[in-house]
Amino acid sequence: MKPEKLRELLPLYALDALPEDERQAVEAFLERHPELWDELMALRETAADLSQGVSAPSPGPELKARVMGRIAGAKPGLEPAPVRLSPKEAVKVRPQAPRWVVGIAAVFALLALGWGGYRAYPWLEWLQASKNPQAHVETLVDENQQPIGRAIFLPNGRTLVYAELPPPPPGKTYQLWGVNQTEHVGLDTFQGGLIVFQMPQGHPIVHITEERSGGSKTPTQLRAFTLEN
Amino acid sequence: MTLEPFPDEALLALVARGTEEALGVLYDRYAGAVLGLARRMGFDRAAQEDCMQEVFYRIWNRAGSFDPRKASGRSWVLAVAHHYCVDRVRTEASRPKALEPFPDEEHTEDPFDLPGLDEENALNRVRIAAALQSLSPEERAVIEALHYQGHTYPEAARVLGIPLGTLKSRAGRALQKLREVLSET
Repeated sequence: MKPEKLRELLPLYALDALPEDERQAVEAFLERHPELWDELMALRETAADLSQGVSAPSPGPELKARVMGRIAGAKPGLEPAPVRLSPKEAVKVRPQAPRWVVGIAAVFALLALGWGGYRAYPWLEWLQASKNPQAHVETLVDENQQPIGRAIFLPNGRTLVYAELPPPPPGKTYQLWGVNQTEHVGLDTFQGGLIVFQMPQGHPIVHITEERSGGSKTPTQLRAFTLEN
Repeated sequence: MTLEPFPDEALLALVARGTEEALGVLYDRYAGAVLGLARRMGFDRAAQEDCMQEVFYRIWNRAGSFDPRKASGRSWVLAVAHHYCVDRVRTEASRPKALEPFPDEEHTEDPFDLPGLDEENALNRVRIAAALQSLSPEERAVIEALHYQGHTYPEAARVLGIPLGTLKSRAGRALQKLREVLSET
């Protein structure tokens, strides 16, 4: 598909008016052309205005109770395969929420929620990192090459990894490694989910291994990894 | 302890992590819009309630795929809602008839007379109705067929009796005009 053809289809994509095969073709094209995301975002905002412009009075509390009852205690679904971007495709991002809004949200999280806020903070940092135009995003895959999460690398070495892993067996833990062509550098241990850590310079690849509690000096059982950075 | 001041993007990050309260706040913000969309697309009361449940269930399950580089939290939530309604309308054996076609000048519904509609949503309705009036009748018909009746563009071209190329260009022009008008209001 040529960019001019894509531009013709983009308004129809934003309006959900493409047949399934063309919708998939547009999505595949967009993955390879992040320079078009600003345009897509603007069209989506207009489509959202059209949807919000027919708002009805809010339904009664019974319906909310049913909606909330349906998800009560359920775990959200595993996030689908994340977007992979090469360094050359580092995206020029137009942030949707100003940084100060995210900052205020983080302060609210910490002040208003106490422990809950503390637990939410890494996700707010994740949100900020994903808006960083210099961030580099990589898919995290398991030993079968199936996507199980993603890693966000920031230029200052700060790295955020989200890994959808089962709880480690009793007496075991997951350990992060910074990897290059010659060595593995042992980093933090964690239990899966989201972790934020400092990547050693010159180690562009993340490995996650299963180790005994407390971690190891050398990697034992590889459970997940990024392909490149 | 409240998440209400959080922006949509932060709430979606929390939903992805399983924070039910964050979904509750998103529900409070967007339930009226989702219900209004389902009504506008012609679903009966039972189907409207199904839409509400399914849309928020999808938001719960898919928040992890939200990417703030491609959409704002608001447009992502409303896209999930619209996508669900469109899927449903296309698969219903007897396609529902969309309600309230674009209001003619002479019988415009006054959103401030809708009991229970909050001021912000009432203002939104006024703003969008005014923006739609800036389109030509032909452009409005295209937006009606695509966005509110849920037709694919080849179907819409057939329904409206216009060539595909004409429909595509009208849709692009209509969205562009709406974008310009709405950015000024």
